[in-house]
Amino acid sequence: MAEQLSPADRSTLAVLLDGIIPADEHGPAAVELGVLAFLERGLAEDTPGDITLLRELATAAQDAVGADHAVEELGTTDVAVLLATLDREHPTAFELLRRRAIEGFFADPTYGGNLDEASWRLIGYPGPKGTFTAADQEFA
Amino acid sequence: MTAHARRLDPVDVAIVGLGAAGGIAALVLTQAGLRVEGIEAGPHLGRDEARFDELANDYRNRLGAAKANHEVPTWRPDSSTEATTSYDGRIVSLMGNGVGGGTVHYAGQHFRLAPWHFRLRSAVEKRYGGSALPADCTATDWPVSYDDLEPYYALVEEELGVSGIGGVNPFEGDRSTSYPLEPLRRTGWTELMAAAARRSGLHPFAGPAAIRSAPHRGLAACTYCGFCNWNGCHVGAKGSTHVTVIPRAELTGNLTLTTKARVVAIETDAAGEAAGVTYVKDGETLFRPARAVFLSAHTFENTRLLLLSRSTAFPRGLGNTTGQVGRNAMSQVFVGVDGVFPGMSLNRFGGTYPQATSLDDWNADNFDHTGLGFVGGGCISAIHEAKPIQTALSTPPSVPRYGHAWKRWLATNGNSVGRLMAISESLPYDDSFLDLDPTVKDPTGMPVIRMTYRLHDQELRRFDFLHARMSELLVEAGAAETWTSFRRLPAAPFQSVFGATRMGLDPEASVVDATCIAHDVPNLAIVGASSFPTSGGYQPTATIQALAWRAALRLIETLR
Ligand SMILES: Cc1cc2nc3c(=O)[nH]c(=O)nc-3n(C[C@H](O)[C@H](O)[C@H](O)COP(=O)(O)OP(=O)(O)OC[C@H]3O[C@@H](n4cnc5c(N)ncnc54)[C@H](O)[C@@H]3O)c2cc1C
Repeated sequence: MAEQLSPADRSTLAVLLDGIIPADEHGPAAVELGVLAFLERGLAEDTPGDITLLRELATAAQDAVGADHAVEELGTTDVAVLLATLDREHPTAFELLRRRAIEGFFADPTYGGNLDEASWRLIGYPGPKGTFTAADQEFA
Repeated sequence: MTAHARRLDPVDVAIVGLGAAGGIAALVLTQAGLRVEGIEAGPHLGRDEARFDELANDYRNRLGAAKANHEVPTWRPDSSTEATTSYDGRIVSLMGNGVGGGTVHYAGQHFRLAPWHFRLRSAVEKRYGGSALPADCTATDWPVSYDDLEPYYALVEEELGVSGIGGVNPFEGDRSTSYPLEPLRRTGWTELMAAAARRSGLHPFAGPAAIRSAPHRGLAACTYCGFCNWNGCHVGAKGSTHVTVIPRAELTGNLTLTTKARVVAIETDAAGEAAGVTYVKDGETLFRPARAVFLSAHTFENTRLLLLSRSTAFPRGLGNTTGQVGRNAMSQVFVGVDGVFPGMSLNRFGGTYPQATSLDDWNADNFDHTGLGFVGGGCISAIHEAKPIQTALSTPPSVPRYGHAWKRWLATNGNSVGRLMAISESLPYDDSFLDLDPTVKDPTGMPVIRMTYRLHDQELRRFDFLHARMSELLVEAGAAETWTSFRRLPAAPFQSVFGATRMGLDPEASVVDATCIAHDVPNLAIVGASSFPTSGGYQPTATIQALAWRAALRLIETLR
């Protein structure tokens, strides 16, 4: 049986993910897009080995804000500072989370992290289609 | 001989692994009337099983699920360091398993090596002197020349339906025939880079591809869907052996395809000849007697099976009488540079990786290396097939890697990034080798391969040189900023490990002869990039297949 995230780690990672992929005029933030669900499905299916680094990252985030506060209470600016700290001090674990976030956000929507093809619209990717014509491959 | 194996009826040739090389061998051997069993560890995937799925294919190596993903080699830079399970903690570019092997999901760039690549050592020593190659570099000339292989290159191109244009690249070897098909379609991006290259005095050409630009021998043409590299083709337009040569071999009635069957040993008889192979299928261990064995399971498995096939006559394993199996391994080096062209919609999402503008001006000895500290070079290609995850992962260092600014940058520039890739030459050294890992085993209990390899000064300088040339070229084409898309890894991706059963005339310094037959086992062919003495400055598969054709002809002679 693959291991699951604890509720505390889960809500910490949710905050980090929303900092990595924030809401803006192009669409909602990571959790609403389904990226957290994507991450958890990965733990259950094809990337169970991620659990150790993800726990390490959640713990590091909780330690960084201190015992008197919770990661969930942080405002946007403080989350950005926290992400920069984690990126610097836990580069392997942070890069793993960033990578999984991007995979979930930019993968086919059937994986559950790319709600309404939000990421594809962001970069102008028309979505998979069986044929690209000559005109499709010219400069627009 | 492996105990408890159920003995099957004999065949003429047992092929171990039906990928690029094994597929060609199946065609040549069966058309000569030999009875062949092709034993393949993976399944037989139909083209309807191709999926437009970047995550599963490109990032989880879906097509390696049957085997390769579970036997990731360990790696260490040198003998005094402990090996780790893959060098950065994740699978990087492992091979595929299934009928067709790596040709199911390869990109399909189909380059012949240049004549110079076959005689690198002697050519370098002649032009630059005996000390141009470092003392610990074990590169040798190939025991075959371009001219020896030319007819087989041509035969392979015709079988697969290769698209390209001869006579435009001034650095290519002489061709007996033109390509069977016109080059793949030219695009805004390929023409932008071709023009920039011409302005720089270089010689761009439409890169050759084992992807059909038009229907050929009843097989479909490319639809430029953008899912080539890492993906099986949904219309069967690639030269993948499971849609081209293997079905033609089946038409002879001489090929038995045995899938989901894993060869665990090559057996020998009292005379020291190969007697057949032992394989496991559906939990049962079977012995297939054969008059000859064609080993084409890719570099790691070729090496592993040889080292594990020990007997009284071959206590160190097959092909290894002189202790050469595993030596002279090298890892091909990829160099990638991206550039952003603000305000331009480059539309690189569609199309296919080898639908490229390529150039050989910085390959082989096509430029003066005096004072550069390295020899050789690599072929540079301006490629298509930008998929979304790949696009999001490659942003310039001047932009944050996440958050608002990152999203904003992608929204503005996601469709304005161009990519150049170079496949760089690499050389073998005294301290680079493959052996069996002493502790790590795959789920079947077999030791995985351990790779001892680091990039040497030649490889580092060549990387930096090609990187600089590609950056200049992007700027000439109008890029506002360029950056590394394919970082310099401590080793290199695992699909591209060459050497370890290298070919040569001297049995003391090589494993197979000029036709890829083991020096110490006259009816055992060992074929793949594992036979390469040096990597060459291109992707390997065209050369692997030309060698396979020749090796198959040699076995036919032997069995006559
Ligand atoms: C993503 C990607 C892109 C690539 N793009 C290009 C390109 O553009 N141009 C190019 O020239 N090359 C490319 N390559 C490399 C190309 O795929 C290989 O060079 C080629 O497939 C190697 O041929 P092979 O016959 O040696 O091995 P494979 O084609 O790998 O075939 C080996 C077969 O042996 C089977 N096998 C392994 N072990 C056993 C066993 N014990 N028993 C039975 N069967 C076994 C495997 O399942 C496999 O099917 C690419 C590779 C990858 C992964």
